[in-house]
Order: sequence, then structure tokens, then C-alpha cells
Amino acid sequence: MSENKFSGAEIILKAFVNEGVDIIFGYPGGAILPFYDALFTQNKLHHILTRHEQAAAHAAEGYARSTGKVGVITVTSGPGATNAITGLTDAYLDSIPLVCISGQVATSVIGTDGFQEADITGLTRSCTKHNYLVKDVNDLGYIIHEAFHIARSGRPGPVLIDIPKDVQNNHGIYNGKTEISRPSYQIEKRKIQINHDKISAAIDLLENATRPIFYTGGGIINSGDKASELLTKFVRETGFPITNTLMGLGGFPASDPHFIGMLGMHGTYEANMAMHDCDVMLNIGARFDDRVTGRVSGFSPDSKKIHVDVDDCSIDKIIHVDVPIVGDAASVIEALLNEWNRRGLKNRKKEISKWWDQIKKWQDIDSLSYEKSDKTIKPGFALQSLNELTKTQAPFISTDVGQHQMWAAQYLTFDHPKKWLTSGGLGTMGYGVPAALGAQVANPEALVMCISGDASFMMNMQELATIKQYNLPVKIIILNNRYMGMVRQWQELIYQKRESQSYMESLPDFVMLAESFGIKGMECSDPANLDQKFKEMINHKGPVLFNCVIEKAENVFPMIPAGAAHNEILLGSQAKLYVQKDLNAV
Amino acid sequence: MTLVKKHVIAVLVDNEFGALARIVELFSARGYNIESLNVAPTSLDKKLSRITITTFGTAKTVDLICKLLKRIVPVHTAAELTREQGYIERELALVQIIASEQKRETAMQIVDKYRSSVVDIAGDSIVFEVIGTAETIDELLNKLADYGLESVSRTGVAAGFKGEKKLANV
Repeated sequence: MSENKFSGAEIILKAFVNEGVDIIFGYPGGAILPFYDALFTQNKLHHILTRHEQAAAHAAEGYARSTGKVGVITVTSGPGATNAITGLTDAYLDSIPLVCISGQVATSVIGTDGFQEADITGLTRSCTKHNYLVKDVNDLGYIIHEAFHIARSGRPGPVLIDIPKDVQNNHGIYNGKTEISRPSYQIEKRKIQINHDKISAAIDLLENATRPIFYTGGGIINSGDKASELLTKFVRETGFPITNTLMGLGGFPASDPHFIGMLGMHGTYEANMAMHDCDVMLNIGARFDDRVTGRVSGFSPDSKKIHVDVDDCSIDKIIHVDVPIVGDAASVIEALLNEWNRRGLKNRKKEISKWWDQIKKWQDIDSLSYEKSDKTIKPGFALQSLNELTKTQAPFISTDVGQHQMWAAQYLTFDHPKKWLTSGGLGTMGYGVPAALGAQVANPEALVMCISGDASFMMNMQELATIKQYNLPVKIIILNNRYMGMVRQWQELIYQKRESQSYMESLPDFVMLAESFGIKGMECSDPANLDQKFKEMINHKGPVLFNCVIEKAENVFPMIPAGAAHNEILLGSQAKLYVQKDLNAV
Repeated sequence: MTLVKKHVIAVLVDNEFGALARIVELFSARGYNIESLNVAPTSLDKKLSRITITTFGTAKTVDLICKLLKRIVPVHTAAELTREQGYIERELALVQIIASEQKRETAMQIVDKYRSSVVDIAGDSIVFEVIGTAETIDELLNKLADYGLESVSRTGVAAGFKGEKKLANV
């Protein structure tokens, strides 16, 4: 055997090391055993054994989102791979870079309904950026490096490599990391070719705007820390207000006075009204998602729109824009900032003081206020308390999906990128616990908290075992209202309070549940004790499952009901008057 | 625009497994039927294939599909061929007629008015090839319905821009 010949399994490991991988999330099984055997005899890669493949994928997302690196998962064929599909789809919709290796039955068995055989390249074609079935071990090394390149470049996303068992066992040539040459995939070239006429046209609009707004999304986070720094600089130099999407939180410091809160279905009154009434909108790295636009025909009717996106498919997909700019967020913001400075433009806060006065009036409505209570814990109260206790530590926050997710987005302060880990596009219940676990593995010293709900938590609660095994000091806070709260909220507002299947008839004792996994369990239902108990939770060295029993039927407000426009936003006091016009809107 | 009309889309793609499936799924995922599909390697080294797809749909959706096509990793370029830009299309069909001599003769008189030639004769069966636009071939097949039209195999539309315009530069 010549020097650079290795088994397929060894090639996978070598290629991982050459890509700078240090952590793998996964779960073994028959068709991936050769890889796990090779893994056993090395010590460069650390493997985290989750308790379900879906959780491995979400953990890798948490790892990727909190570090900016590619998340890696290894699963077996058939059910192992199909379990990972929800996580891959989640990563696809939120543009998270993942590489998933799935074992496959031997090439000679493919297509014969072998044990644990599934056509996983077929099944994942529409939820991966690209995927491969490797039939020759000599192609394996190059394919892995190409997969990493594709996952992390351009608009990032998940890539799956399906590797039959015999390809893992066979010996082939691996020459290390080589230059990726894929003429059909010209992401890097596109990155440099920013159209300067468009930059100039954008600045023409911005310098004459009287009611401008920045609307920025997850593209800022994906572009890297430099994009956040440049954005912060640009916003401060212009003196314009800025709102973030759910995915974009942390891309601009939330405690900066230019920030007017999150926009969208449960965004602040001021952010949504400003979007509706603005005359120039600068969208960077957001995709006019339906949770943001509301009814498209009523979306920001009088504004000129500039849209910066690395993916030209997102431009003009939902909303027609006047100035489309294809490019990476950081490079485009830099170009915009240079053009702004080249023209000698100064801070325009004074020139647009009427606009800021109007925004101030909207802010005075205090759309996130809620009725205080000394009997039950209000979710806003719990999150504000948690925020005060932890914000100086800039914790990583993951969430599940539902009311608690929106409350977390509304009440927590995100001053830095990559701290906010939430399932925005797919809205995957069960995301929060494994994502927090992945973030904690990547950031062992940091405070990592998962804000969850009673229903979401139970979708991946087996991961308490993983948390225990690796002693990951994750703090899981269940905002427990004994309901699928968001479902109940829609049923209350739209379906005349018919609470069809949204009540959790039977919940476990979460404290005992935690203890059965060997984890500290805590509980609080009295607002007077909450601060003290949160402090105890934060000071505890190991993981904590905190059952925070909240008001049962609190709703998330403000709310732009599905199918409504931004200026039809409902505040808590108006909700009872609401009649939904379009029952098909989701 | 919600007007549903015929669209012709050309795609240059790496000649590898999975590429065609990814392309086709962009249509099926939107509930769009592919009316005709033509695929063959077109570069001398057989590394590149050219795909021509005809579909019926709204301009907005087809435009989005074209953009999404370009996002597929093995796709080099994709574009709609429009009347405004000017394009040519051709399709070949192998048409079999099984009928009495008298009917066959009438059929061949009809066929002779098209760009066609006979490729097989055996007993009462006659097979000829015909070349034209999809609409021309539809027209001929309609005329032959009563003259023993037995089977048809069509290649699907192959198409390209008029003049010096190149798909690779779109």
C-alpha cells in the first residue's frame, strides 16, 4: 500500500481534520460502523453522542451558529438519516452551514430494499444545498472538501454526503485538501463583483431620504463579525433607525438608541409602523419573509426599496425592489459606507428629526408592556428578570418555537452577533435543547441558556442525557403555561376560543424528570421568588432544568395577524376586537 | 402576471447523477408539470449536458424557477428562451401508422407536406420521422388521427437563441 492510500473511513477523518473540524455530533449504526471504528482509534476529533439524530443536527446548528464554523454530523443509513432530515431542513431554511455524513448500505445492495436502506440523496435533495452519493473511495476526499466549501460559501446551507459501507471499507487515494474547482459554482467570483452603479443608486436614495429605515436579517450574522461591525458603523454614521428580523437579532447592538426593536408578526409597534411609513428602506441580508411583510399588497407602500442579498434568488421573489444589490453583506456595506464618505455625507439625524419624533411617539405606546401581576409569573417579567441578571455576560440563548420564542426575541437584549440561536424559517419545535447543547460544546466557558416551552421541550428532552454525559452546564428555562401557547393564542383569536388539542393534559414533574437524568431541577411559580431562584440557577456550576410556571393564557403582543399589513398591527388591548379576514393566511 | 403560458427553458449542467432530479424537482415542488424534456451531453468531452424544458406557468413563477436553477450546484447557467429575445425550437417525432394500403397512402400524402422521411416499412406498418416545432408536430398528429396513427415517440423540444447570443453568457 502506498503512503497516501487509506480506507474510506480514514479519509473521512483526515478530511475533517484538514477542514479544521474539532467536534462531530452523531449517532452510530450498522452502515456507518467502519467510520465509528476508525473514530475509536484517533484522538483529534471529539464526538458528541446525542440521543437522537434530529438532535445531532440541531446541536450541529447550535455549534455552527455560535461559532460561524461548519457544523458536522455523522449518522447511519435509513432511520438514522431520515431522523436527521428535520435538522437539515431547518439548516436549509435558516442558511446554516452543515456537513452531514450518512452511512449507506453497500453499493451492491443499493436499490434492493436492504436492511436500513433509504434513498437519502433522493429524500434530502430538496432540503440540502447539495448532496452526494459516493460510489468510489478515490472520489471521497475531494467530495468532502467540496462539500465544506459549498456549505460555507455564498448563502450557507447543509450538504449531505451518503457513503456506502463498502466505500468506507475500501482503500483509496487521498492527497489532502486540494483547490476546489467547480466551474458551475462561482460564488467567490460573484462576491467581488459588486455593481458600483447600484451602490451609487442606493446612496442617492439614502442621502435624500426623509423617512429612512435599515431592515437587516440573518445575512449580517452569516457574513461574519465584520458585517456587524460595519453595519453598526454605517447606522451610527447615517443616524438612521434600524430594525432587525428574528434571524438578524444581534447583528446590530440592541441597546443602541438607533435600534427600534424587532419587526414582523410579533415585532414592536414602532418597527412595524416605521417599515410601513418609511420612504427609503435598506434591506441587508433579509428575505421579505411572510412573517415580516404581512400582507404583501399592503407592505410599505410608499417606499423605495434597496435589497442587498448574497443570493439573487431572494431578490424580487416576494417584493419588487428598486435597487437590487447582489453580494456578501460585509462587502456591500463597506462599499456603501465608502460611497457615503466619498460624497462627504454627514450624520442626518437632524435632517430627519421629524421622522425620529414620529418614531418616538410610536415608542411611547410601549407596545411590549403587559399587565403586571404579583400572583402569577408573567412571561415578560420572567424574561426581563433573566435579562437583567445575565446581559453583562452576553449569554448564548437558544429557543424552541412558539410564544416563548417570541417573548425571548422581544424582551432579551442582543448586543452581539451569533448569540441568538433560534429556528426562524422552519419553526422547529424541539430545536432549543440540542442547539444549546451544541453551542455549549463549542463555547465551554460561556453561559448558554435555552428558553423553551413545555410542549417544545418535550420534543427533544431525551437530550438531557447528552447534557449529563458531557456535563454541559446548559440552563434550560421552560416557560410553562401547560399549553401549546401559540396554537392556543391563534385558536383564541381566530377560532372563537375552541382550544382544539392545544392543552397539555398531562405533564411530567419537570424537577423529578431532571433529577432522574442526574441534573439539577428547579421550579418557581411565585414572582416574588423568581429573581432569587434565577440567581441560584445561574450560579449553579452544572446543567439546570428550570420549570418556570407562568400565567396560563398570556398572549404575545403586538401581533400582525396573518394576512394583515404592518399598520394593522394589534396591541394587547385591541385583540378582542379582531376578526381575521383571510382564513387561509398562515 | 398570473397569465399561464408556455415557457421554454434551457439549462447547461454537469453531466452527473442527481443533477436532473434536482432540476425537475424545482418544477414538481411548485405543482408545475414538465411538458417536454430533452437532455443530452453536448460538450465534446461529454462533461456538460444541455437540458431543454417546456412548461406551462406564470411568468413570475418561471422567472423564480430560472433563478433557482442557477443556484443548483452543478448548473452552469439557465435561462428562459423568449419570443422577445428570439429563439428557435425543433422537435423530432417518430410516428408509426398501421392501416390499410389506401389509408396509408392518404396518410403519406398528408405527411409529405411536412419535413419528414420514411425510416421503416414492414407489412401494414410504416414509420416516418418528422421535424418541426412542437406545435407543427401536434398539428400533423391531429390530421393523422383517422389514418391509422398507432404510436408516437417525441424527443421533446430542443431550442436555442437566434443569432450570436450564447446561453453560457446569459
